[in-house]
Amino acid sequence: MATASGSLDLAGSGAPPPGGGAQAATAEEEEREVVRVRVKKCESILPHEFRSFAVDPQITSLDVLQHILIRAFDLNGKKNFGISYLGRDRLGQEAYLSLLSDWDLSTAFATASKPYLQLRVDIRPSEDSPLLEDWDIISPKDVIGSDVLLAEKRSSLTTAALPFTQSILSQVGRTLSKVQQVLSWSYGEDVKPFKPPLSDAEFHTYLNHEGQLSRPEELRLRIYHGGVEPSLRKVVWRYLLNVYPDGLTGRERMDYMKRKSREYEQLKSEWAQRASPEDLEFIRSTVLKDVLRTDRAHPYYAGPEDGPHLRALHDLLTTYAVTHPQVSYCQGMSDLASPILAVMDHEGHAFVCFCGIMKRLAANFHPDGRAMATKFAHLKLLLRHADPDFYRYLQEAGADDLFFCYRWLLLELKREFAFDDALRMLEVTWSSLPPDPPEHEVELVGPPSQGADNGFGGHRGRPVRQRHMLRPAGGGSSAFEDAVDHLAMPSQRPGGGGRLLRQTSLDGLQQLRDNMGPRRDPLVQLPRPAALISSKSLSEPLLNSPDPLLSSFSHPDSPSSSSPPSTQEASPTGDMAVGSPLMQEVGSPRDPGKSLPPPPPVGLPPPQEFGRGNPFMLFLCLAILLEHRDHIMRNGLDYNELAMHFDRLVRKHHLGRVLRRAKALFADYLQSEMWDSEEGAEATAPS
Amino acid sequence: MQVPHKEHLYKLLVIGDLGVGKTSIIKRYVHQNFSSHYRATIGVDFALKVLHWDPETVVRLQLWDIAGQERFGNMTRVYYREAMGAFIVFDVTRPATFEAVAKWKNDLDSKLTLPNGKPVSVVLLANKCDQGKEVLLNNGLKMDQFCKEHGFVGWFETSAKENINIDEASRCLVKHILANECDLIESIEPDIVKPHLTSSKVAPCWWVMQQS
Repeated sequence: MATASGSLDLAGSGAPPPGGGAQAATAEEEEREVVRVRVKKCESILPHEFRSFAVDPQITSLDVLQHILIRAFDLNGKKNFGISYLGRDRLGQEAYLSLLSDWDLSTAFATASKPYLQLRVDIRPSEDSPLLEDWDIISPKDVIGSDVLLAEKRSSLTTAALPFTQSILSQVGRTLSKVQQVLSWSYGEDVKPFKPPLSDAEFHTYLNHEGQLSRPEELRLRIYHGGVEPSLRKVVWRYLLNVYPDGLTGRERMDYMKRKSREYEQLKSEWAQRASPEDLEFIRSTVLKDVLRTDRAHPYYAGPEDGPHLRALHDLLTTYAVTHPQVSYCQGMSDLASPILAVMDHEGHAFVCFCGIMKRLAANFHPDGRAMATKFAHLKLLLRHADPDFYRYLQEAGADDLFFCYRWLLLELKREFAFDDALRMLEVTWSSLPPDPPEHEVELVGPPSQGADNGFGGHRGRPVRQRHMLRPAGGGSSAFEDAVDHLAMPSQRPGGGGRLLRQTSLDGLQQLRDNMGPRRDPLVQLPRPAALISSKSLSEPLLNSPDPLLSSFSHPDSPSSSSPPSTQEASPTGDMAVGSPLMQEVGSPRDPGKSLPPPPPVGLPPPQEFGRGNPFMLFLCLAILLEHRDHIMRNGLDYNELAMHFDRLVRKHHLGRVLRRAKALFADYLQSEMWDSEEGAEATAPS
Repeated sequence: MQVPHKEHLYKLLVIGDLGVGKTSIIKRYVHQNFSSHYRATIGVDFALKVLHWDPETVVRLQLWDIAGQERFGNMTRVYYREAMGAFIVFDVTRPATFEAVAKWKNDLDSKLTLPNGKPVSVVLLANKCDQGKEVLLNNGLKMDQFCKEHGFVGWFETSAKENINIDEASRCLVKHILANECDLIESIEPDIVKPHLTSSKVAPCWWVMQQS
């Protein structure tokens, strides 16, 4: 069935970008945060079906829209449909205009989305679909008054929109939190927070007939809930560590790994060409020292010191150091590589995976300490939010620098759990991040050393070694402390942070759109890692409290139920915060401009910044801290006792308890708007 | 008759290049055992040792085992704070670790002083002496000279593996700390390195230069 009209000549009409057009300059962003969409599905003689939902015009491309529609109307396998929207044709007459491109969609958003955008989906082949009811709603305003909705319908639509939410979170975060809230609210009931580990059979349901991973986000969500069966880790971790480019078939994946392994063997044979003898000797001896004492109690690394697995770990780390002169080898890397090698049980594959994880973690080992300083500052902010009393206690004990958490942050808690628990903890953490597949393939070689001509002389080994030594005394190199001091203090700097973030997000979005042409599923191409997990439902409600969002949104007399979308800011954050310890210090984060000084509201950074690429890990740290806060406060532990207390708990933390708590806290954070605040972003923006 | 009980709590640092055996020395000292498989220290590990110094005095030592590979220079300043003394450790089988000793000492002195402005007492440990005895045996005089020049209150050949000299080294350090604290340093016999070691009551001129 053809759509009603041809497309407009957009080039001629100037093609207003999203957010431009008729909006007043002052209010355009607020106005445009959410566009409500009503869709009518037309299919031969069947009754029309309707759906309603809300999208962010800033990041919704045609592909994304199609994706939502397919899921919303269960059109899987029936790609043969056309989309049109109700607009005005050249003569000013109302008509359905074809939606054939992102330009069409931008025009539709800009000119035809008041009060909502009306879409029509025309489907050619007939089918027997059950009669569905009108107005399946996922826009915030509508949800408030929609007690009549059946839970089933809600969950079907929100499930459909979930990957969409994730992409929103990672790209725009701040602007889409309202939609996200609703999604996370209604996604809940039918999803068990904890599942058995992903099995081989279940994993295959995430692959299509060619073996391509068709639902990467959902796979990650699944793993977030239950982890992976140990025998399957070898396969699945490669996805979680972002080793595979998008869309590889089973055959292609095998070829890819073979090729990368050969590339690794080649690099391994080039040590002598890539490093001076002195340099290489230094690296090798340092690596060997650590390899000989990394997880030696685990069967995989037990046995004689010249065992094959120790040798493989040594060679892998040495090759990495030699091929990444800017990073080289630092203590702790053996702890990151060890579980990967033990799981892969293949040196080349493990190296490729290690490169995958180091893409995200190399900054931890940078000598300027900036990445670590940011993580400390973020953890501090988080603890202050979550438990002001405990934070105050630590402050009085002089322990609020949290430096006893150094190893936690550096190694993402790998050492804090027993080996097998650590594997589970790692895969759950990795799956909390959105997929970040390499554009082409994983790079096995890093940029050349910067220190080659920095005054240390031509000797290449010098800068590398220098870095491992202490800095000269009194050299004024207090970058770390300065960074910490700066980061830890809520900055009063005017302007800047939020806007910059927004701009970056939009750039990312534009890039996303530019790349979108032939892709089947644009959602897997996320510009940068943030939080994948977006739903309250992903874990149990904190402290068994009733879902605060649910209670406030479903209450028909809620003061916010009558507000139009553009005044959503006015809805009482306090209501949502009931029962949420994370909200204790958040005054009215949505309106930082009007907040009064005592106590100053302190925001948290948005997920794409929080924890510098791994927000969930901060919540694991927080969970561990909170597990022990009563003991610490009751016994009045001082700075040293506190540090020693946690030192004794190495490899002894209770994984189940910590995970459960961390997930609840994390979900609380994601669905609250405590990070939708200028302060949070600014206070932690690296200078 | 009950003697009045004195308790002291001292924080001691254990620093030195990676792999010289800092953790092993501490484990030997505190837990009386040895393993060659102690994990590399990341950041800092901790241990507590209680010494019954004399009938009326108990000394509690908090041992701060600080990672040898410091990629994060100024973290150490945080770890150093409020320490009363330190061991600097090197591995007699690896000369490079001895070369780094002076750097560790300078770094420590630049970041940490006692409340009265003086540097803390530091004992130098030549560890793994079970593996490389002859390396240093002939160098005793040189070591004495080195300690004098760099302001160590003493040095010991140690072996965590064979449990050699660790208790002795600790007693030496504690003695100096107690003496420092009581401001009685002149009454203490300098250990091991006598007669070379000048009393640290009056800072030698090279210290003054270093501090300025």
